[in-house]
This record gives sequence, structure tokens and C-alpha cells, in this order.
Amino acid sequence: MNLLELRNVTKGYGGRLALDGVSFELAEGSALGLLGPNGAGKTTALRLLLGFAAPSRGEVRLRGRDPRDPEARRGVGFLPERVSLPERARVASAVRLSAGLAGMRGADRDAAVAEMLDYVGLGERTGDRIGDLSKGLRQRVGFAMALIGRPALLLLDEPTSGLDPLGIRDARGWIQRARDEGAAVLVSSHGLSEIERTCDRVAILHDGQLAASGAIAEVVRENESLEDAFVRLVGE
Amino acid sequence: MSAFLLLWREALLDALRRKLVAAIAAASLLSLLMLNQCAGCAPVPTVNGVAQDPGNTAAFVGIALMIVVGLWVVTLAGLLASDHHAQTLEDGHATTALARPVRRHEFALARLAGALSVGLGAGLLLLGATSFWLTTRNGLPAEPAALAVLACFLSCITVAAFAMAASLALPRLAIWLLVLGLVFITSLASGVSLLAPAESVPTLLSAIDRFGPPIASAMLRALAPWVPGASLPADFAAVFARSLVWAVLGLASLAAAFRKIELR
Repeated sequence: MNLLELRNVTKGYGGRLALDGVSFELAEGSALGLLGPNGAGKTTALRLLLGFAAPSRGEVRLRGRDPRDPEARRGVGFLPERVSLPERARVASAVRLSAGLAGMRGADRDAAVAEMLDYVGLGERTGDRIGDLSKGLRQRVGFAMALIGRPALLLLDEPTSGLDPLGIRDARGWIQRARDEGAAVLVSSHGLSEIERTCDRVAILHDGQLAASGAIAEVVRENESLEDAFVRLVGE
Repeated sequence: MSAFLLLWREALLDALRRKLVAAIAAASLLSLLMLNQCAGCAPVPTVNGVAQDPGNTAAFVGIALMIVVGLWVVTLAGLLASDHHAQTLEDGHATTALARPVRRHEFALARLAGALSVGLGAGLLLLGATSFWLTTRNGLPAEPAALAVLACFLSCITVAAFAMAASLALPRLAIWLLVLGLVFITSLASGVSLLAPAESVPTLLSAIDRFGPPIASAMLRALAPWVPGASLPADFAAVFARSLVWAVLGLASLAAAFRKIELR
């Protein structure tokens, strides 16, 4: 079963097309890397998948439903490109809210929040204000908020943005563990090595159009790296 | 706890963390000190050397005081709501909540409830204290004050909801001017319609008084029984119902405006 699907989707802003007839899907247990240069339409695709915007044409399905239906977003974890939270909020309260919105309640929720904060390396920072955290630590809070409640589908927009090399390694581990636990993952990133390490399929966007999609082995030619294939497909 | 309650709690904490709230708290405490003085005064005016009924004076001073405080509370609610929702869209904070199974209107109304909780809390303190002092010191009945507080709260919901809905499209300064303008123009319309002969009231002001949100006029009608020998005006129920309709319209506008907007 496909957990998400874009069918011939077009999305325009004014006279500019951010997406033009794009189709791709993500099956259960699979991991898809959404690649493309800046302005290719990656974030627009994520916004459509979460129901933040409606397509101009075509169809978007999330867990078999219209993404604007809140039920479609049940069991979905999302990490935005820029983790924005109230500056004066505390780390634990931000993650607790996310857990609550994911349907967790009471002592189970509090235990899961404490466990998750330990897991992402914020066990000692639970009482810190968000505004006092570095970009990398905020990204860890974002991961905690996305991962809490063991979502069946993870949508990650530039997940390693702001993380140091150790943080990047940790993030790779978190994504892999989520996959091992059965989650499907969509990673939108510029980081080709990240995609190669965490995903089994790719969709490459260029100027709002789908330049290629499929298993990494299908997109990459013989004696070619993913980077080579990316450069060939986006025409640099 | 439902998603709405979780989001309301978050919105309330978010509102309480704002520096504006500290300023409101300080202003409210100062206002309480002044109100304590005003509610305690009992002048006996004389006209042509004849002392007037002190009961009338207490009633008019009390009504004026309640209306002024009520208008301040309504304005405060509108100003507080003016960016409490839009801010979450600007900084992207809304998307972290709306990526979960949360309905758009739940999120928007929870933000409104968070901002209103602070505004209504300040209102309850100021209007409650004023009512208490006026009723205990001047012997004015409590029921009209309770109805006036209720009417004021309905107006708070109306103004705050429309301010929040407008904030999805307009900058903060424009919303502040709109809030101040709305409170001023509706109060002016009520005042002119009350004091001037019907035929001399400009058509626009008359229409605003008859069909617009009855911000001052609902409170005024609720407090009418404070005047010795007077009772609730015959049109009180209609004006109160209009206030309720405007509040519902405000909430519906906010929900509809947020449902249409595209999140970035």
C-alpha cells in the first residue's frame, strides 16, 4: 500500500509553476529521497503532502486520504526545514505538545517524552528555553517532535540542516531505527550522501518537473555515483 | 485532553510569556487603584442650589465607569489577538502542530482562546473589582453588572476574532488601527444615537448602532436598571442577541479565513 502519492500534480504561485505534472509515491516500509536543486519544488511537494496547500491540478493522497483531512495525518511525523518554536517555550513542553497531538496521554506520554529526549541527546536540556538552544540542538528538538509516538510515516525536510558531523551521524541512526521499526520515510535533502545512506528510492525534481524516479540502482548508471546522476539529470 | 485543549494551553502559555502581558498586568493594577478611588467617590451635585439625588449620581458615575473599563477590556482583547495567531504562521510554528491530526479551525480557535483567556482574565479582574466596589459602596444592584460583564465578554470575542481573522491578511499596525477604529466608531454611534434626536443622527452612525456589534450599547442597556426607577430596556434581549450573533460571526470568519489560507 502506498502511504503517500502525488498523481500528476501541478502547483502554481502566481504565474510560476513550483510543480508541473509531478507523480511519485512511497510504499509502506520504503524510504524515498526527494532530491533537487534549490527551488526545484521539494518543499512545495511536502507542503502539499501535509495539506498545508492544495494542488492547482492533480491529486495528492496521504495514507489513502486527502491530506487536508486531519485523519490522513494521524501517525505522520514531520520535521520542517526550519524548526520554529516559541522562543520562551521549554524543550520538554514542546515535545510534550507534539506527543499530545499525536494522541499520547498522561503518564505514558510523559515517559515517552523523557525517553525520546534522552534518545536525541537532550536528556540534560529538558528545562532549557528553545531560544537558548543552538541551531543543531533545535534540530534535535525537531527530531524528537517528529519521532515521538513512533509514526508510521516520517516526512523530513533537510533533516541534517544545522547538525554537526556527530549530529548528522546520530540523525542517520534515528532515521535508520525508524525504518527498522517499520516506518516509511521521505527525506527531502540536498545531501546526496544522506539520501544514499538512508533511502532505497529517489525522486529527482528539477524546475518543478520530475527528472527521474525509481530505485537508486535504476537511476544511477553503471560506474556512476548518485552525485554524477544528479548532475546529469538536472543539467548542470 | 483533546487537541483543542492542548493547543489552548499552549496558546495561553505563549500569551503569558509575552512582554505585552507584563505591561497589561501593570496597567491593570494601576487601573485598579484608580478604579478604587473612582468607585468610592459619592458626590452630591447641586443644580441652582438644589441638591440632586445622590442615587442618580452614583448610577451615572457607575455606568460611565463600567463602560469605560469595558471598552478598554474589549480593545485589549482585540490588540492581544491581533498577532497571536499570525505570529505562528510567520515563524512556521503552526506547521509543527498542523502536521499532526489537528483541524485548522481547532488550531485557530485555540489560539484565539489563548489570547482571549488573558484579555478576559484582565477584564474579569477590572470589571469584577469595579462592580464589587460600586455595588458594595453605592448600593447598586449586582445583576446589571453581571449582565454588563457578559455583554463585554461577547464583544471581546467579536473584536478579537475579527482582529485575528484580519491578521491573516493585514499587518499588525493595520489591525491595531482597525480594532481602535471599530471600538471607537461603534461607541460613537451608540452615544450619538442615545443622546441626539433620532432625525439628527447621521445615517451611517444610525446603521452602525442598529446593526453593528453593540459593544457599548449592550453594556449600557444592561446597566440601565442602576438608574433609580429604571428597568432593563425593552430591546435589551434583541441587542444582547445581536451581540451573540456578532460573536458567532467573528468565530466563523476566523475559522473560514484560516481554512482557506496556504501555510508556508
